[in-house]
Amino acid sequence: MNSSQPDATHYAVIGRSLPRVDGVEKATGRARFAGDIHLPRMLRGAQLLSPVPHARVVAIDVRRASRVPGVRAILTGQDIPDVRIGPVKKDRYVIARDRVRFVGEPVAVVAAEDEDAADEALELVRVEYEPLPAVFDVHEALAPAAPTLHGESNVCRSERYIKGDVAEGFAAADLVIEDTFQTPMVEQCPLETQGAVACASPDGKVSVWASTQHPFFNRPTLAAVLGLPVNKVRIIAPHVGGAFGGKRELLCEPAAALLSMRTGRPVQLVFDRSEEFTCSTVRHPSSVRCKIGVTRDGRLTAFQATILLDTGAYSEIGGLVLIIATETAGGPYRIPHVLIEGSIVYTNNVVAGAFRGFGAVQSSFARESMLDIVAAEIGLDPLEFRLRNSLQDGDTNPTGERVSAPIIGEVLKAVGERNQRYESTLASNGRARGRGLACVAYTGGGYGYPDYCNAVVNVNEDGSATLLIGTPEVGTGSMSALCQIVAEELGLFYEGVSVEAADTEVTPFDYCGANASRITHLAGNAAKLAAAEAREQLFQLAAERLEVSPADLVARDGVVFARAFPAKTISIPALARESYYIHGAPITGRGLFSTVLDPKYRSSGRPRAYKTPVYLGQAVEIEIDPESGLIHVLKVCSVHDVGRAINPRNIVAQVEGGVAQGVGFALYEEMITRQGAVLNSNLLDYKLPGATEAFDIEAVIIESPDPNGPFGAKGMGELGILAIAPAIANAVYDALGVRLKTLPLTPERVLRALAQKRAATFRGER
Amino acid sequence: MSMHSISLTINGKKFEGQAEARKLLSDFIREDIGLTGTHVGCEHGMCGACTVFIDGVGVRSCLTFAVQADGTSIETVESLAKDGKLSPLQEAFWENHGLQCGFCTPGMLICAEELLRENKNPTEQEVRLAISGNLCRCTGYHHIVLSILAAAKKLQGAAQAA
Repeated sequence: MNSSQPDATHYAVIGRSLPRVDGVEKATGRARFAGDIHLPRMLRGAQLLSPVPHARVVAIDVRRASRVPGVRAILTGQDIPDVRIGPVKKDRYVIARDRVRFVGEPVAVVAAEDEDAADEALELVRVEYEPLPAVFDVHEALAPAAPTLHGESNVCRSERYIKGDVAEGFAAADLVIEDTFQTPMVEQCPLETQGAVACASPDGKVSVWASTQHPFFNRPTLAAVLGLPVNKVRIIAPHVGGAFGGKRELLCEPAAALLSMRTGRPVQLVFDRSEEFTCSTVRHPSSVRCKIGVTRDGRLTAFQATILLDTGAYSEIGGLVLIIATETAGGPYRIPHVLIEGSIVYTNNVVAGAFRGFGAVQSSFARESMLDIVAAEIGLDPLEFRLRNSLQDGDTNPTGERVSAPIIGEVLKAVGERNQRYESTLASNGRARGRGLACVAYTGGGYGYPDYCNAVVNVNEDGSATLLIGTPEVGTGSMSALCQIVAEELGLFYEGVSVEAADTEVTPFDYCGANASRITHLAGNAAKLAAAEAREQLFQLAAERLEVSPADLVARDGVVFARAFPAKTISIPALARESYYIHGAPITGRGLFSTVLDPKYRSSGRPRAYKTPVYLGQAVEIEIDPESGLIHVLKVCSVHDVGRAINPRNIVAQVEGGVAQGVGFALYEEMITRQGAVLNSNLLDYKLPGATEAFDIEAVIIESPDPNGPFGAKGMGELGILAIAPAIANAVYDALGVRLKTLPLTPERVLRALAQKRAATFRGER
Repeated sequence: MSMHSISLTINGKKFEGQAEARKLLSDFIREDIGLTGTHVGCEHGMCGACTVFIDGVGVRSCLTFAVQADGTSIETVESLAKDGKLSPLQEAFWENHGLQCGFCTPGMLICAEELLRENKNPTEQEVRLAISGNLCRCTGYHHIVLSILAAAKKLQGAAQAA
């Protein structure tokens, strides 16, 4: 592999805002989602959910239910293999066995000829519950006498980062401020609810089409649940209608597969919207205590955070969410003394899992709010305060890792420049205007844990190319970015590359799927390596024809030529034809990209792989009606370091989607629960941002090519959501002088804070 | 359960069949007719993904019984492309990143099509109002709005050329 594509600053395909490869299918309604798959003789699956938050399941009687015409199978926890699952802790059955721990936990599943028969059967299943004491709040769950869900303690996992000595840091401070911030339970709300179609064949093999983010990650677990070897289980992700972290878990797949195995017929199980809220995972509600020490001239001396995340009844991916929450809690700042502690805590609430930004959304809300509180106390401009403390080349970050050339300063300057243009005044309509900003240090391309992706690139006999990749397309446009990478590396036109994704029997092994802003970076690297290997095979043939060394060759726009003699060319289709029809050899390149194999990526201390640091800053201008307390977002600027923009317009589209979710999280979204039951498990009572809540949005892309990235690219899918909530909370303070520490920032909370401020002023307090 | 005979036109083709009284039009279109481009996201009229034309008017098919559509003419997202060619509106969604996961797209297209049939030159505010009953979780709407405005331009250009 001594030749390489010209490291041209003039790429042919990279950096162009090309249309998506899946655009035609999606614009015509022909893209098939899990719920669109109808197999002959297919049965409908449905689940019976626990109505109680915590109970022993004493008995389940399915006799009457089984007699409903059209019912083909009913399964309870006793009918399936005794296998517990969970990516971090194996603490959960796919159907509850002898105990339920949250409202919404499946206790029985049914397969019937149609939905009505399934529903009727579920109504006739008799479950005898013996209630157990339940707990719904993390603080209560940690009390000594609290009822426990699993074992002796409700603490599921804990993490701690220590840098220096915070006691020393606080002693050196002129001012120490401490406060607590809360974020609510929210749902990812992909427009497509999750679903699966399973088809067990007579030879004992089970194929499952599932709306999933990571078929390979789930395959061994599903095989274990079904009691089958992995070669008898095939998972295929068709088009996935949004995920945002909410389609990681094995929820529909096991039930559909078990029912299909029992009946010998295909079974489709698709969640209704209410199940999406209650059975699938949510963002961990959080309580973050934050303490900051600072000198009079605005230098941070110490930072302490205690993070409690409510993981609900089961751990799922909570351990990783906790790691991200704690790791990112200190932000992109130079702080000599840091203590970050966190726990995920079991409660009888809906199970929490991944949601765009993992725990960084929660911890950043606390830190970035606190920084503005501190800045106000010492009389410094929030931007200037952040700039004064931002990480510089060679500093160690809050978790003690040395950083090289962090571009947080550049990000802050870009976001600050916009923020200065925003207004903080009393508008002529009587509304108060405010501006705020916030920033976050995150990772773009895996989370620093061992992760792998493989790719295969086939150059077909007509010179077109097909990429095989194990990661699904969940809507982010990542498959299009991968096709751009392959086209660039092979010297083909973008239109000449297609992709086949996410089928465990066809595509090569991919570990973590559509997660963690990893596809462009990890799968992009794998695809690039595979394309390079295929190109080498083309170059071997071309070298003979052009009578030059393969190392002297270049491929571009579908032709291969020698660098020194660009006029003498041979086309890639001609080379492909020769390979297939004269030599009988397919042109196939394989690529494996791992974050651990290269020893230089083994960071010292913790057993982990390398990380790709990314920095982002977001600024907002808002308007508040002091009469109603309603907040309107007027302008948003979102500044992102993406390494290299493979497809700039797609990046902007990702940022905009993330920002909208951030606005929803900041202003409206909250799952209301009572005794663990969700009261607003529908899209009428759970408010999502709509098209009329319009604001000006400017996405600023900064390119600082990453040495490990494909063409320098970093992942960025999650970033747009990260700092919006604290930026808005800071803008509320700027506008009204009140500090809101609990999300969402509802009109009620704004008005209550204003009333408290007025009362305090009346009493003569500051 | 009572079955009813219904006959209707879907995307220009006659269809005669039986529908159970409670069968939703969305299920009927997806299961009985086999056109799965009409998506169901919320089952109670909040997300707009299931919007179809009934006699030229955009309607939530998840809030309509199949029997209510008896004798009508229905157009779904599958009707927009003619002879295998994307309509200017579909093209604009593709070219302008007006779609991401694609699940809300059929409903967005129908609502946008309805707007553009009535209003050849909509403002951004009018476009936003026209899709205000449709939820999208991926895009933040900005690129959908741009797509619809771009489609209006395309259609005007085509009308002037004609």
